[in-house]
Amino acid sequence: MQQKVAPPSVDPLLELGVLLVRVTFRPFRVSDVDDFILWAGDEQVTRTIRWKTITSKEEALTFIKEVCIPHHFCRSICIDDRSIGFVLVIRWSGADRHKADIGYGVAAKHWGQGIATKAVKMVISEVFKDFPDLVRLQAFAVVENIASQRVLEKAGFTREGLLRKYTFLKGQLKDLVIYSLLSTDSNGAVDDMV
Amino acid sequence: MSSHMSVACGSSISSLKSSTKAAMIFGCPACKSTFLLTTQPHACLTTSIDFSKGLHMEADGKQGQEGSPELSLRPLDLSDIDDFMVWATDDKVSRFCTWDTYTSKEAGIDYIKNIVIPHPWFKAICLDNKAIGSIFVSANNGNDRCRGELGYALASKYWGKGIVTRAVKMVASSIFNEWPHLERLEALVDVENGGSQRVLEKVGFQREGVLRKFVILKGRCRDLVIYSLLSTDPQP
Repeated sequence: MQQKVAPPSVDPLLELGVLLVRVTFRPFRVSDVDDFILWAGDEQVTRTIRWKTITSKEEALTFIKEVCIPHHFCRSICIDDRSIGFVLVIRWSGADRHKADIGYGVAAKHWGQGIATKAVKMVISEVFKDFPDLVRLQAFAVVENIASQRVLEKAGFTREGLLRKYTFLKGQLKDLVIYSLLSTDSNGAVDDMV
Repeated sequence: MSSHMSVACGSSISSLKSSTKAAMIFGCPACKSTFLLTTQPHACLTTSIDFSKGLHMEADGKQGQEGSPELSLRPLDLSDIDDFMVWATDDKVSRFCTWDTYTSKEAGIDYIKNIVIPHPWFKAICLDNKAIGSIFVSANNGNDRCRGELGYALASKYWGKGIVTRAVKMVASSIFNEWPHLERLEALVDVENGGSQRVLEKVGFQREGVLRKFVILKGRCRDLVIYSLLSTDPQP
């Protein structure tokens, strides 16, 4: 009788944990351009955000130089220092200075690995430190983007409601779910491994 | 959707079906009042034109009783300044509004000249053509042009009589026709402003949620309830 030998296996949670330790974020660099195009040129990634899908290296360079780098809070999400996505925090001005919007995108091949959740959690603690008079961090997810809604929920945001026919996104009228995290909510808690 | 037809001055409506008559909203081109057509005469207050076929009526179809005041919406202008100051100087009225109580007539005149007159949609709520409050719909640009925000204020002596509810119903029945690009009329109301929340609920707005610490009002962070009425929702 042949004995079946089980292939060597790695605990998937351990694997994921190892991956997430390698996730960092930093400002964009011009040298990120080739990695940038891989996800910013992918309609799967850009479908649910305002960023226009990048179609050339020139467009990518322009976008990195004119939008990502000068922006006060635009960060590349990296694995082993290679860009696989972005996180962006846009502060409101004037009477609404106490509010900011957060947005993010991750390369499709890295979906489902907890990367966006980790990136959002890391950004939250930095943002509330950087902007001490920030009271409300908010995020909008299109109603069909369940994965992004889970990211926000795992990162500790509160779902406030569904805003019907709220805005046009790439020419289509969308319902958006609005989330918020307040400076007084439990946030910036010690980050666990996963 | 309620119908919105313009009817030529002097045209006969006696042959129209009563259901059509009830739904017809006529904008008087002279005094700019909005009213429902009936067989009663409309004496325009701005000109001496006798349209003979219309009447200032309450927007909910209740025919004005003998002696009861008529509610209408019309542009607010500088000649309304003294009436405007009645509610603009009242702390009870400004309490949940973004503006601070007015303390000078000059500031009121400035506001009417610089904000009200150029505004895309700003009306006085009038009783017998006297301004007792205001109601507006603000417009947005670009990707947000599908939504407009509703705001209103009423002199406190007229609170509790359903006036704002009627005014909001008038706006809701006409704004989607006037602005065909509008899909969503929204309103943001302080969590403590129960009166205003009830107005919107009675008109049929849908409560979507509470936006926590959404605005800073008079130095304090406030939670606001967000409501919406879509062009595709059942019209009031």
